[in-house]
Amino acid sequence: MMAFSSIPMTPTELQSELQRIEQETRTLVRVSTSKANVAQTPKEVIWTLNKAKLYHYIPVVPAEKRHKIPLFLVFALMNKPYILDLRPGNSFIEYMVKQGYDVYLLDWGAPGLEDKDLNFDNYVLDYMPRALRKVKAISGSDEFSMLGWCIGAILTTIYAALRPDNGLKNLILLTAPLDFTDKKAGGFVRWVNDQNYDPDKIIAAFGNMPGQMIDYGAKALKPVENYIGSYLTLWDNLSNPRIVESWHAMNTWVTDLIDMTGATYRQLIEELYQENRLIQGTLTIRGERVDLSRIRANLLNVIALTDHISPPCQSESIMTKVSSEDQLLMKVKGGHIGMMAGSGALKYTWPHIEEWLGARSD
Amino acid sequence: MNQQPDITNPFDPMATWRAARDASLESWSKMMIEFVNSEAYSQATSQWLDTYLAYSQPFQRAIDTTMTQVLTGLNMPIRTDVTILAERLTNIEVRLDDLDVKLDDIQRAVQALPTSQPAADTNVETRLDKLDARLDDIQRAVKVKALPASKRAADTSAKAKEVK
Repeated sequence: MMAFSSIPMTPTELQSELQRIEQETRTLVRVSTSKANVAQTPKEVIWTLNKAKLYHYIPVVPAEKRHKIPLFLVFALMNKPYILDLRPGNSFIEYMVKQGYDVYLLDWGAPGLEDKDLNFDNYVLDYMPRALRKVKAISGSDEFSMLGWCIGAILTTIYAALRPDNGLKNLILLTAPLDFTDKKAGGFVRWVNDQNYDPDKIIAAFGNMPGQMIDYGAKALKPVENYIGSYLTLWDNLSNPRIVESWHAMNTWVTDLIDMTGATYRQLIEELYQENRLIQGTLTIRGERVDLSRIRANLLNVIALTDHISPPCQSESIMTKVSSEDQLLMKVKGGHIGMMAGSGALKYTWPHIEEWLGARSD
Repeated sequence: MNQQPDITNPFDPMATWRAARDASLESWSKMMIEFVNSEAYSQATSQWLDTYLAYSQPFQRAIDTTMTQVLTGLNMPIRTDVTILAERLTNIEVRLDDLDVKLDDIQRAVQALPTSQPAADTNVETRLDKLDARLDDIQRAVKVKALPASKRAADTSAKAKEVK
């Protein structure tokens, strides 16, 4: 911590304390005014469409030892996907590449005003099939595993229900907000179901849903932790390089905001959060009804026990709606993001996902 | 992530202060989480947002109208023009991606053909050459479409003169 850890008795001790304080002040200025070096796992762009990019991570395991079925990752729409590849040693992608997976990541990019009409229909039926076609072409495999996180889990679930015969073998959902039956479960669902809350007014005003507003909403769910606790953690650990660098990387991601397209936000709030159409089986995507019982892929549903953004009750009920014979509901320690990117992820989450997927990837 | 304070040292006033601070923050946090999850907070936030949008929109519209008039007066593209252009580029990208898909399909079909039939190979090569020529045509058409209208008109009249 940047204060006297004990009262200095001699001039030498005093000098040493002053040097430490100077060093820690520099660290504080650096991490609060610069961006961390993130997303360092070697990759190549193999496909682009509009703002979207598909990355293929360079394998490090010899071909004969690699898993045959590629892993396709889909993150949420309103944050950058490099949370899956935060920094060396704290990267799910790096971990999976080292475990012998052929990993692909779909980066939705940052939408502009010209994209305000893009919605789930476009993402699921235009972007994802094209990206998956490329995955199949590059990997040479007709089958694939798909992992969706947060809103990415909504997209992958819809895709899995609409295109069950397109080679999807394994579906992994992480903190998936799918069932909004309980209108009092968590802040988001409660806020957007207020009678005065009208997403159309926001979209009419801004075109897209501003990233800053989404960020405010997410932070307001745990205001003390996000606005004070996080900075106190840094303050208390300024002399610990491991914690400082980890905080720096996470802060870089947290402050790297992107807007959500207006049409997607409207669909998310009205059709899912308010009308709960996905789990009720009444959601239609470009005229096709999303029938969850058509999902037959092996299913791993990972829930974070202390998730305040997608409370567990929003993720659990899909298990009874799908037709997958091989399914597992996994509850792990941590919150919505910490579960996959926190210091405990390497111990409590990644090995379990890898173990499940490894048994189904050859 | 947080390192535990050294509460074993009774002579360290900072450790005692940190312990007290953390305890008070924890209770404060619980209280705030309960507050933001309450009906009252939901209503207040929605009303605040509603009011903000209602009052800010006329100003925003006035700024937009002024900007549009100024930019139009200066003969410069306005936001709508840029948006339309970006949408057209995206449409072209989508069509190129569709072509890419078709080319991949053709490539796969060619690769799947038995190699011991030279006549068939030649036929496919001819078809690929034709396809290549059509792709070149499309590329040229796309380039022409991307040119400003005035330049396009100039090019067309130049071509017309050449024909004469």
